[in-house]
Amino acid sequence: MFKYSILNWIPMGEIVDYIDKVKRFYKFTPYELRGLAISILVVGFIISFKEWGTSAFNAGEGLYNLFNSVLIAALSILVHDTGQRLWGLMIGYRVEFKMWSFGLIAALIAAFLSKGSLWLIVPAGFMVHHLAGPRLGWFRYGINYFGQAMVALAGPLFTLMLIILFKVLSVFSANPLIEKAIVFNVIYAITCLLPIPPLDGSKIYFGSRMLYAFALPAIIVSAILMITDVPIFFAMVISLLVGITLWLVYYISFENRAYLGPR
Amino acid sequence: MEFFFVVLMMLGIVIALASPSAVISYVIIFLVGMAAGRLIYIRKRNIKLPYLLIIAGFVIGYLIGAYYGSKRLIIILFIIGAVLSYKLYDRKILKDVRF
Repeated sequence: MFKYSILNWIPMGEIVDYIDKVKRFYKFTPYELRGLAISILVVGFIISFKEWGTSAFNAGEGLYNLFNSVLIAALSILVHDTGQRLWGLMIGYRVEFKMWSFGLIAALIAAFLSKGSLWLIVPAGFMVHHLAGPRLGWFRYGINYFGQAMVALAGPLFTLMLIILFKVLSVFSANPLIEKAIVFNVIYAITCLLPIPPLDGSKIYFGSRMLYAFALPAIIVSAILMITDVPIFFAMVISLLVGITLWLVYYISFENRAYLGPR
Repeated sequence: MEFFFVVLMMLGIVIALASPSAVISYVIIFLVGMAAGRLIYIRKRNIKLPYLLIIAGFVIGYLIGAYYGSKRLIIILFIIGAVLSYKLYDRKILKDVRF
């Protein structure tokens, strides 16, 4: 009787295919788990550096704060990486988490020199592996820079979603741990956008300068506004407007002439 | 090579001067040793003298700038950090991204 049903509109095949891809390729390898564990422990130590006693060293208080910091770091880094994995699988790439030793060492040095005031959250990069079957039929079949850029952008976007979730939770329960988690994720979203290989920002920049010109200011402004009392909706709108404005300014001032080439 | 030697020497002096205590000096030079060990492991097949001189430049600068702590212990900790890091990467206990 009904020729056109709603089931024809929902791409059931794509959803089932995506769920199958996630089940097969989402798992972490032992090397990834090792790198994740080291990154989480180091980042947790860095953000709890100043919390080992108020007037004198207190091991119990320090270990309790370290435990909380490790939980915050674990949730944030896992959400960031999960976003990249899920996005990568959607476009036919398997994403592999890769710890960055130089970043962790630099972060530790910065923490020691600044006595815990400076949080440099640059623990890892990622590598994409081409999945031949799932990627079949896609435009530019192999691994390409723009595909990598889209996967890289998913990380800060998922971190932003986590910040929004924490901000909503903080309305119902004013908890210093949630406040600390918000600040940590804001710093993480900003520092991972630095255009230094192997961070996400470098992959976005080398994938598409225009995308970087839009994403960088938009995410930085939205992340900073999350710490203030600005409502979430207005923060998103303002960050979108700032991103579009700076994207246009960048195009008019540089990219337009660079694209046309030398005259 | 000389340029990077001088740059890293300056960086070593600045970081050493910024260290507020001997313990922090020791921790930082140990971490720098670990970074150097990783660099040596990556270049192990074709390690060239300039890389070693540039690393030595940082250590020399750090020794010049180190106000707190024993200089002998600084060198020892740097070497321990480098050897430990090299062994960890050589035995595939640690595996990470280069760039």
